[in-house]
Amino acid sequence: MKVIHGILVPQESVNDEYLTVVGLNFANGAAVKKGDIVMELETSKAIATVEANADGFITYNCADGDEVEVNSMIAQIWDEQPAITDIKVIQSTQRKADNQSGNTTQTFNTEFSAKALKLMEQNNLSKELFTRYDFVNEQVVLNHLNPQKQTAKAESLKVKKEGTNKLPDNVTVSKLSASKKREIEYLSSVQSSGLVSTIYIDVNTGGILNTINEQLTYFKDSLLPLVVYECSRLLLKYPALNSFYTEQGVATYKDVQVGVAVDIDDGLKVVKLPGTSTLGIQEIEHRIFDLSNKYLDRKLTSADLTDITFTITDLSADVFMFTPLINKANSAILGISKIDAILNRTIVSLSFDHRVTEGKIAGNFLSELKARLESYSLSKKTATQNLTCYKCLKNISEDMNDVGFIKVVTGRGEEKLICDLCLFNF
Amino acid sequence: MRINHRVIKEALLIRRVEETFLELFSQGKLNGTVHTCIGQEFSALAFAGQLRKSDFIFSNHRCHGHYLSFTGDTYGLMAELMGKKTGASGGVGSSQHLCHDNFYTNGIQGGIAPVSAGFALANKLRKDKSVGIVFIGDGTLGEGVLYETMNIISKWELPLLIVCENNYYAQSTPQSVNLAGNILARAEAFGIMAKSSDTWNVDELMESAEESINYVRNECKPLFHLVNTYRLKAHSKGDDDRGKEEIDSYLERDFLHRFAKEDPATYNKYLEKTNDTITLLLQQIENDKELTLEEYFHPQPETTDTSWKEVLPINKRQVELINEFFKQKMVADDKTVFIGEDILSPYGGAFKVAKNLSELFPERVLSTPISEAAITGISNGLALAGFKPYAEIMFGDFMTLVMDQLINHASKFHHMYNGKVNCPLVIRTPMGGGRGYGPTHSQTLDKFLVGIDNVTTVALNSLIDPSIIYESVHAEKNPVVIIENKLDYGRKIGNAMVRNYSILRNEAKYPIIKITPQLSKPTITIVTYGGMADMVVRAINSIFIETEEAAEVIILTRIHPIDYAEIIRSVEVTGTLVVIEEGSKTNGIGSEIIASVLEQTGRPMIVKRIGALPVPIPAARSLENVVLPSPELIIKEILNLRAE
Ligand SMILES: Cc1ncc(C[n+]2csc(CCOP(=O)(O)OP(=O)(O)O)c2C)c(N)n1
Repeated sequence: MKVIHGILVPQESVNDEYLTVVGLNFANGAAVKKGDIVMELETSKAIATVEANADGFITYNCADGDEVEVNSMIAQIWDEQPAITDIKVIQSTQRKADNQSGNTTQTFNTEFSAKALKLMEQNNLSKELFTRYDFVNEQVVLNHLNPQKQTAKAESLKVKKEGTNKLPDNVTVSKLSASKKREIEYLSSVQSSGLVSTIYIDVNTGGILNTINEQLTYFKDSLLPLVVYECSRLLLKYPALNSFYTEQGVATYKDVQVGVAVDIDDGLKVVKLPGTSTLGIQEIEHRIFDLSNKYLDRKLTSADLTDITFTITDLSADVFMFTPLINKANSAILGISKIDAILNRTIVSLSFDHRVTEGKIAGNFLSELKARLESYSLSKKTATQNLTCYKCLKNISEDMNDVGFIKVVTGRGEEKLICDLCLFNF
Repeated sequence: MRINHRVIKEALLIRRVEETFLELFSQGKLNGTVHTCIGQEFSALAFAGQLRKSDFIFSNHRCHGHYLSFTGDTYGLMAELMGKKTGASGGVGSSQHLCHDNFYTNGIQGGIAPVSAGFALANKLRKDKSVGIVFIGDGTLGEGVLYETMNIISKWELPLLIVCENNYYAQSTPQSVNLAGNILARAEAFGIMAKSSDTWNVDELMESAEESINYVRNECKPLFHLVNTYRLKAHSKGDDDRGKEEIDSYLERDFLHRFAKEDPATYNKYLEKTNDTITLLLQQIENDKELTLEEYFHPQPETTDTSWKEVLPINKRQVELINEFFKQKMVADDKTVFIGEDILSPYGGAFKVAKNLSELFPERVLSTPISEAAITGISNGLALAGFKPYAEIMFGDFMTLVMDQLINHASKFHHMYNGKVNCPLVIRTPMGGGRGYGPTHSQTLDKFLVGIDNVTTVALNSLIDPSIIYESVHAEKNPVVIIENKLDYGRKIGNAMVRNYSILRNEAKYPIIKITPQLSKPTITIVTYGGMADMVVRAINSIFIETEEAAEVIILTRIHPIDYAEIIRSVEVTGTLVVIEEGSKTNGIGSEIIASVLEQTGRPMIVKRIGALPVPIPAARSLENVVLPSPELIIKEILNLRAE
């Protein structure tokens, strides 16, 4: 009995190192014909089918649901029908077959690490067992001794492990879908900065501050209290941004506790505004003010710093645009940049964890936030506050008879506003 | 009578241009600085003004008079100082960095002396009757490289006229504070004919200058001409502490001043005409544009070669292969010059790279005195004049003496003269320890030789045929530093044995060598180059046995600028980057590589720099072994890396 063909996991796209087995179409040992679809594999993009490339009898080295490495041998086609016992043996020895071609089996004058040799000696393993390896280190020997654990081998560099500790009580966990898992893997190996994307949106600030300043005591000319207020409302609608990634799945917080990053001179701290979505703008402002004072007096307690579900960082004093970094046990962070006083705008950025949410959701969140913020500039009062008569410089709010101002074209061709008194007196 | 009205008009033009610069400066229309030659104009006219167009000039910071007398390019000078792209150096160089035809200036005192000697040597090699002048100030008599140059131009009989404009001051310092002995005697001590004149007897000056030029041309020998003179204005703009009385006494002797008094009508007529000319030029120049960044600096992206082929052993020692390259190149390209210390046959250089070369090419193999700065400067001059000089610096440790010529001259010429010239010199030098030569003959100083703009730095190793690198270097238009390794000279190329690794190289201009496990996925990326490559390759199997890590080793042959594509590809697989260099590791090449890789990948990874300890390299064997990186150290560091 001999193998007439080995079937390797195909490389369907450069991004996939692993594919998922989603269907084995024959039983082990069954007869197949050249061209038969023997199995199906899920890639990050689609389902790939694998055909038999010879007539014969098939054995699989994998089971439905397995993650298999590209170029590893997953099945063989034999010239004779193998017995059930043979199949078992075949399956347990078929590991890391050569990755050059399915037909040939390259052998090496294998190099053993010192630790590997020691372990082999302890377990009475002969060097002959490893002739298909170029290098054998301790891990390879361990895999040989303990084949079940193989799949969990040294791929740990791929996705940095999040703490596997116990999850907090204030979350609900939902499992990740297979395609999401693959997207995560794809991103972690391809995207340089890991799994985080940042998106930006311009917010037109003209008028917002005028409206909001009236309500504020300490944070005049700051968008922060308003942004905290609006975000905390919006997060109820976008729970994915009020969540975090764990190995068990996505943990979503049950309530919204926005953290505000403060960095005055004692290092960066993120302080919590408990129950943010129930607070009004002024309450929010007062809480931030109190917490900042506690920070300065070094009186913050751990309760002020923990269980934050979403973070907002306000660098409007310094920078026009930046990319905020997501905090631990969060899936997103919002950044407020400096207001460009000439263009009357600021850039709000949102960094989010791809493992938890996706660009479209994050984008919708930002657009909605923008609309909510800009709606403050539409209040009638703000819109008209700066209007003055170009002759007497009277403000429209001083317009006692409530006629309003009239738009005129001056002798120089400029459009100006004029009050009724000036208009008729001239 | 040599002084005619044409000369007077030219002198007046120089003076008025200089005065205009001072005016523009005070109006804030001129960026930077100027050093005017007001009072010294006739020195310029007598020497620069009496050369042929095929002759050449190197000048210093006080160069405007020389420039106008030689080139007649008033527009180019004025536009240059006003920062316009129509200026002689496109506005990049300004006052002290002019280039036009055979006229060059630089702002480093004394540095132009060996460069001009190299230019004169080029003329002599071409059997061209052209001569050259190098202008220096008396203050520059303090610079050592000047004496290296005087020694060589006298010994080699180079057609170079040194004009020393003695205005009795160096910036603010009077000569009495700075100068010992006698100026002319300095030149005479080198066997150089020395003469003196002054700018107050202009007729005699003109005549004597012509005689000096003729002497240099006809005798093909250098001459030192001292011109006593006085600058009537500040060193640069307002920095003048000299007494008014002293200045006035020289003003009374000034030719143009006397002429104005004696014949005011003619003087005023000339003055008016000169002023009109200048006003007109200024009006035109004001409308000219400044260079854009794209016009000034346009780095060429390089493509990476990704075709890999196996490295095969060559049964020849590295030094033989380099020697063969020169034997072939000097036949194939008669612009190739080999210059350095102790390179004549039978000795053939401290490491025998020049073996038999001087017998084969006696004219183009130039053994020099112990003068590293002059060797490099002369090579710069040769390179500017169209030759391809290979300067051998006997030990890499002596590169410190080369630095001014490399950084302030070779590296700068191309960009500071707005792309008008190239300076394709090559400096070759052996570095590395392991021979017990001790602190000043064992160092690897490559970290000081990377990141110099416009300079390519390459390092040979024992795996690559050196002629591949040398062929690429020969084609370069910019300066190149080649770092060789003392131990590698005697090694046969590609002879190291590795088990279960493939040794591959790509087809890049400066190939990258990659040593990679034949089957396994590598778990660690090691980047190295130069002499360390041999050590790492020999240790690679022990590294696996001791550390469990199947390394992918990337050996660079060009260490500036570095092609990161392959390193990044490897690190994306292994997540671990170890860089090994022979120099001390702080602020080293490894630091740069790691920073660049992190910057470009933006991905967290485990990194490690391995290098020599930060102490002088001891001669005692056991001590030298532990100060320099060793296989034991590499293994220890990798184990630590995983323990952390
Ligand atoms: C290597 C170097 N050191 C110092 C300077 C600064 N510097 C510029 S001009 C000058 C004085 C030069 O005196 P001298 O050679 O007599 O020329 P002069 O200015 O009198 O024409 C000095 C010190 C320099 N440009 N280069």
